[in-house]
Order: sequence, then C-alpha cells, then structure tokens
Amino acid sequence: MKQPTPFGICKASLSRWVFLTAGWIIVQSQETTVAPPIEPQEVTSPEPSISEGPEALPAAIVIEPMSADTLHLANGDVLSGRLEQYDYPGDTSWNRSDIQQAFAFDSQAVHQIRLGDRAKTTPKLSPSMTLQLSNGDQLSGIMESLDDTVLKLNTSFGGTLDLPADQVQWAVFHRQDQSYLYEGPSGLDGWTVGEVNTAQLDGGQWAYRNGSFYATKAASIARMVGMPDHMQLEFDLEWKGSLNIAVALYTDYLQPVSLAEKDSEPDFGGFYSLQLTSYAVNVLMVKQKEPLQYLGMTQTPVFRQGTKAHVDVRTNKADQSISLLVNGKLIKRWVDQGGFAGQGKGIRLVHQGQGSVRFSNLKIQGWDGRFESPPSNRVQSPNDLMTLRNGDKLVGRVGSATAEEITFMIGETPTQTPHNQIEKIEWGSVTDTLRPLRGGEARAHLLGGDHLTIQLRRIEGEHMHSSSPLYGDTTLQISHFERLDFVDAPTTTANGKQGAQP
Amino acid sequence: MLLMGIATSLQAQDATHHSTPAPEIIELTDGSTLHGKAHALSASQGLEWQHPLARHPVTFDLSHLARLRLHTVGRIEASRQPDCRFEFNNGDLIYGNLLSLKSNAVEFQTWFGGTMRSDRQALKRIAFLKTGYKVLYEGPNNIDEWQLGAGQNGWSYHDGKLKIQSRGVIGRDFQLKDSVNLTFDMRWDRPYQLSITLFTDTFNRFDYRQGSYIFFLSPQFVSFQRVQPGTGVLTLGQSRIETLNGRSEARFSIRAHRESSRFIVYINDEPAGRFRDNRGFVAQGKGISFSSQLSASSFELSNLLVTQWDGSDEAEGEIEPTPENDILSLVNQDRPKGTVVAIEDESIEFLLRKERAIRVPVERVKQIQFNSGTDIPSPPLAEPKTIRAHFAGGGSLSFDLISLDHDQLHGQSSTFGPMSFRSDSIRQIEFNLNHQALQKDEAADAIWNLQSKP
Repeated sequence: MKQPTPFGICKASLSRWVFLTAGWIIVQSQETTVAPPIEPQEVTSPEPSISEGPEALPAAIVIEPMSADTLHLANGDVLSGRLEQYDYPGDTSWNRSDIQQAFAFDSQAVHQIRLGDRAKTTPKLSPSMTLQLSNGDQLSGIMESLDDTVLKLNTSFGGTLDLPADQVQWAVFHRQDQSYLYEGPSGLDGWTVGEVNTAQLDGGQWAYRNGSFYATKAASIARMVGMPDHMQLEFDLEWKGSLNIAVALYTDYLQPVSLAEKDSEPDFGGFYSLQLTSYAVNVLMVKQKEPLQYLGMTQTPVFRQGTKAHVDVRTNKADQSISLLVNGKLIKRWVDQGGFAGQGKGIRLVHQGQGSVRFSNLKIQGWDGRFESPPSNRVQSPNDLMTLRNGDKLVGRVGSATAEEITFMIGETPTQTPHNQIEKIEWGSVTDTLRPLRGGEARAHLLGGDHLTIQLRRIEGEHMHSSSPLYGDTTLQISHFERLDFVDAPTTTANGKQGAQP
Repeated sequence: MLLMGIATSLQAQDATHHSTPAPEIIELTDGSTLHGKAHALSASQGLEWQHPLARHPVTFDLSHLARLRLHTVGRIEASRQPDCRFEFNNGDLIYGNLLSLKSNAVEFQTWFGGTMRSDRQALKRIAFLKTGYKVLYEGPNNIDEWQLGAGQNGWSYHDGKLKIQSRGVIGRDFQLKDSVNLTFDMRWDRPYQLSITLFTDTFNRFDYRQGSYIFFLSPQFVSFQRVQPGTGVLTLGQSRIETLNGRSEARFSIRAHRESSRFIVYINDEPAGRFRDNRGFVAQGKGISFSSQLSASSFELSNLLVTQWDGSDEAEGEIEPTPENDILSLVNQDRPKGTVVAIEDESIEFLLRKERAIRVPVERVKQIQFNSGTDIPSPPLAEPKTIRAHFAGGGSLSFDLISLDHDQLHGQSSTFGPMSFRSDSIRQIEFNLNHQALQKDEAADAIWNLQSKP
C-alpha cells in the first residue's frame, strides 16, 4: 500500500511544527556516559546511565495490548475504565469491571479522555494530503474536489467532510510512489522485547497501548525494518521527568547491549546509538572489538524546554552522515569519518532508566537526500503559492480541483497539475483564528497526529456526534482517535506551541 | 456515611491543622487515583465511595483497590509512651509497651488497639527503646504548618506531599531537643540536590549565625556539614550512594543524637552514611528546614515522620536469627544465646545456652532476636480482603478486613485473632498486598497517568 511522504519538515520557522507523523526509536544502555551540562552556579548530578543488561531475555515477551480508556478530571484525578457515554451538556458515564454502577460525572468536569484500543469499523484510507485550517486543525484525507467555496475531503474518521475553502491555509500532498518501510506501532507483533535488568537499574518493559509504546523504567524493544541506505525515520516523543533514551540505528541485534561489556556480548554487527537526553544529543558508533566512538555531543535545550517533540532522523550511507531534526529544526549532522559502521537493518529503542517515555507515530521510509524547503508564502500575500516536486514555484490562485488534478490560475491562464506532481500549496490571505477551547469544545486528536476542533455533543458507542462552524454536523468514528482534550494544555510541545507549517 | 467525620474528629487533636478536613484518596491497582469520601468499607460489600464530581456514590469491590489514604492526624495518646518496637515474622511492626512474655504468648499495650496478644512464635524481635518512642510530627498535612522562604519559593503542598520544581526553602519548628529521627519518602523526576538543616531555628533561609547540622542529599552523594557560629561551615563527611542509580524514589531516615554526637543516614532501610562530630554537639535549634538547590529539580516529599531517636543503629545491632536460639543484644555489646523463658516485672528470665537460668534486667537489653523456628512462615495471602493498616505515628499490621466504621476497624488476624482498632488511628490501608508485583509494567499507561496527577 502506498503511503504518503510526510510534508515538510525543515522549515525556516518551525515554531508551530507539531503535526506530524512518524517516528520510531531505539536504544542502548550505558551509552550515556556524558554528564549533562551544568546550569550556572549549580551542581547538577550526572545523568545515570542505564545498562542494557546482560540478563536480556533470549525470547520475545508478549504483552497484551491495553485497552482501557483513561479519564482526567478537573480536580486532577485520573480514572481508568471505559467511556460509556458522553453528553454535553450532561454527564459522562464511566464504567469499570470492579464497580457495580457506572460513574456519572458532570461533563464540565472532564478535562481529557485518553482512548484505548477499539476495533476499526471503517477502513483506513491512504490519505493523499494533509491540510491545515485557519483554526490550527490539521487533517488528512483524499481530496475529492475543490471549488470556490468547498473542499471535499474524504477521511477515515468521518467520511467526506465539506471544508470551507477560504479557511484552508496550506496543503501538503503525500507522495504516492513511496511506501513506508514501517509505520506504527500498532502492537508488539514483530517487536522483540528485551529486558534491561542489572544490579543498578530497575528494569522494565515497553508496553503498547493504542498506537504508542510506553516505558517507565529501563526497557528495550527492537525490530528489523529493512533500513535503507538513505533513510528518514520519524517519531513523536513525549516524556515526564528526565529524558534519556537511545535509538540504535542499523543494528542486526535485537537484544539490549551492555556497552561496558559489549565485547563479551553475543556477536552483533556495528550500529549507531543515537542518544537523546534532557541536556544533549549524541551519536555513538558501536562495534565489537573496537573502542566506542562518540561522533560528537551537542548540548541542546530542546528536550529541556518541553515534554513533547517530533524527532526526525535522516541517514545517508553514501556520505556516512546522520542528521537529527527536532520539531523540524536541524539540531546536528554527524559524519563518521571512519566509514559507515551500521551493519544491520534494524532499530532498537532503549529507555535508559530515567523518567517516563511515550513513543508514537514511528515512520521509516527511504529518503532522497533532500531537506524540505522552508515555507515561502507570506500570510498576507494576496496570492497562493504552489510548489511542485521538481522545485518549481507557481504564484497565482488555486481555482478548482478534482480527485486527480488541481487547476491553478497564473494570471488568467489556467494550468492543470496532477496531485502527484505537487509538493504543497500555501493559500494567501488566510489568517490564523486560533483561540482557546470553550465550554463543550474538544480538540480531538487522531492516531497519527492530526487533530480537529469540534463542539462535541455526544459520544455513544463508536460514534462521536459533533458540530463545528468548519465541518458542520458530523458523526466521527471514535476508533480513529487517540484522545480528546477539553481544556488547553499549558504547554504542548518543546517549542510551546501547537500547529505546524508546511 | 460510616466514615464521615473521621478526619474531622481528628482535626481537633492538632490545632495546627486546617479546619477543613482533607479529602480521602483511593488509589487503584491500575494507577487510577480518586479523591472523595469513603461511605462504607467491608470485605463483603466493598468500598462505597463518593467522588466530589460524581452524581452518586459508586461501590468498588476490593479486587482493584491498592490504597485508601485517610489523612487521619491522630496522635499517639497513651498514659505511657511506647517503649518497645515489636517486629513480627509476617512483617507487622508495632510500637507499644510490653506487658508480659511467656513461653507461648506475648502481651503488650498499644495506643490504638488496647491490649493485644499474639502467639510467641509469631514474634521476630523486640527492641527496647531507651528513651521511648515519641512522635514529634507526622505529615505533611497542609502548607500553613510550614514556614516558606522569602521571595520566589517553589514549594507547594498537595495531597499529603510537599512538592518543588525549582529552588526554595521550607521548614518548621519540631520542638527538637536531644535527638531526632527524620524519615520521609522522596520521589524525583530529575536530578536533585536537597539540603536538610537539623536543629535550626531559621526555617526560611540558610543561617550561618547559629549552630546547626546540614545534610546534602543528591542521587550520588550524601555529605554532612557542621555550622558553628564564629567557626563557619565544616564538612564532616561524605558518602557516595550507589543504590539510587536508575531509581526515582526512596525512603530516607536521617538521625542525630546529641549525647553521642552521632549522625546516620539510612536510605531504603540501609545505612548510607555514619558521621560523628568529635567536637561535640553544637546545635541548639528546634527545627528542620529543607532546601532545594537546583532550579531544574523536581521532587516531592511525603510521609514525613519526626520522632526522637535513642541512638541505636539497627544495622549495627542486626543479629542473624537462628532456628533454635533466642539472642539477647545487651547494652555492653554481649549477645548471649539461649531461650527467653519469660519477661515480667522488667526482668527477663533467660536460659543461657539452654542450660543455666539467669535473670537479666530489661534496662540492660537493647533487643531480643527470637529464634526463627524450623517452620518458614508463609507470606501473607494475596486475597483482596487481606489488608495492611498503617497507624499514625508508625507501625502497621496486616490482617483480613471485616469492616471499617466511624469508630473502629474490625479484622481477623492469624497472629492476633479477632481485633478492632480505633479507626482514627489509621493513616492508610493497603489492599491487594502484592499488587505492586502484579502491576509491574502491565499498566505502563496507568503509571504514566498516575504520574500526571498534581
């Protein structure tokens, strides 16, 4: 199945970069031998390093997916269970196996509902585009048509939505000629869960739940994904407390490796360990019978300033480089002067024993070696800007569209361009209408990272009944959603803002 | 409405507490946490719980309950201060007064349960506390009972925890005199540096103009300093900590003893540092302050208990139990083996090496390690009705729950038989005693969510 290429990443101003996609991870323990930078006049303890554990289990451990929903209330209470019904105005009915009668909470007291796994009752479409509306909503689907007033977008979660054409700020067209080598996680199948269990670390395991891996203790999980020579690997990361993870790239070994005792570990091929901490990022070249080689640590506040980030890793075997982008911004490009050491095609994600980590939207695909261009159309511009995959930029007005092509007006001259030749369209004169959520409104987050703002009237069974000035009255499939926010989070990303630019 | 008013009745015992009762809290094995009020609790009916945001009460069965925090603030009320610590083979620990011990039974007095009796074989150890067991403080109960440092101060109080995410000083007067044992649970998200000043009268800042002792705690080190007016600050010792790598929580016990000028830090019941001030004990203050030194730190303190300390170091005096012999630990460091025949009238009838009967005054004995017997006690059953009650002032008992009402907690113990306690003496009740092991990583998302709570 063809999958789209995530839209632009390396924008000049990625301050609102968040929508996105993809990710994955890896790990390594005891790979962190670097003490974090010290705040002026403060003595900061060195980051404890985690051992990947010489006692790794030989076989994969199966952990059943967890399916509970989680309710967050206004007083800070958290309750697992199952959402039975939501009405606004009205009550939220919440049930558990250990209570005799369901809870009935005033829906005004509900701040967030994290949704557990649900069977998908509608097929998942392969979206052809992702677009952003003036209120910050981002949604993906297949464009069916566009005229002066309406953009019809066919979505997995809500069928065909009629979007007001004058509220679309940008659209990124997904490449249909390239599929993801991996997209998930969607469970533990295919992953090898290793156990980090040393005298110094309280070992745990990654757990899967509704599109995400969670780890609250030192843990390792790995799989073979057929990493190509030129690769783009993306994932979303959320953490609590200190961040200290390692992602092994191009590994041929699925069990955690104790770097301190790597030469006595079972045979494994060379790999790179990308280390992400609250203080710094680093890449370590790991080979048996050879000294560990640090390719260079870079101190960065990006993981200290927030609790979420979109991580984007680009590799190029030809020039022996590994590049790290966080929230669309290039943090560091490492070059291994000794030649590319990665000998496998797998990844391994290691929680190094500190803090809690949530890992989602992992996507791996081939990379053409090109970093995306920054947005170039000014919001106040009266013209629209269409960027083609060959680099051409057309200034004019978007006229109409069918499911196959866009009619773009250059002056009075219409040009038809097939979707697959378009990288992105930025509409002019569509200003932001961002505002905080109001009573009864919800920001509904889809699996995969999109989100939309709706007036949520009722949730019953698998359906969410909502209304919106942008979407009208809609019935959405709850199984495609990851969570519902009823109040704005104070800070949502490492750069503190929501939204993204193409 | 059976439990309504428990907290209220206890407020009157401590004028420093808020007039508004603290909400009770239940924690479930999946990480869920709910404030509210327990209306009823029994093994047969479960827990009836009223959440403040819910339309009606909900009844939980006991299968997923982990903990009920009652936030009681009852104090040890007894005509006689507890002078013994009783440890039992099943993990129970009680502070009380020994009434008698015979070949098959032990009888003692507790402030919360009156006279209690148990089978002698259930008893693991008795420690005789030279200066008694006096609780000076148990909390935290609210922020108002603490004095905050001036200016920007990151300390806050929530649900029985003092939290901080930056720098700041907080402290209070504990009426310290000649000794202290400060114990608390600490949980951290980031590297921390916590300094604890003992025997100070200045609670809102460092004060080098009066004598005090300062412990600096970090995940890697404990260091110990003396502050003496005119002399300045002198580091008296430092210990490296290896046990906290990769951990995010621990229980600390920090002890000071004027007469012996001894200082000890315990972490998770293991000694982490022993210090002595060879110049004698210089501090005169009555309070303790806590200071977070890092702006990027994030940690919380809970279950603070401040008691007097008799100077004994249980790790030094630890005796390996033997299957057949009881062992006395005497104040002169002798450790005779034999059989404790009886204890009555402040005297121990002891059959030395099981041959020669002698009498030993209780005042000459620090502790008795009873023989472990040949039968290895089985761990408590994991039935939901098996609970562990934690009492105000320290100590806990595990038993089968019968019911809890506004006056009494009723249960059935294999050690003590039927028993009832004052319900206002209980700070929290644990359920499903092995739920930590069950949970492990099977509820990572629940743990994740649990960590989100304020």
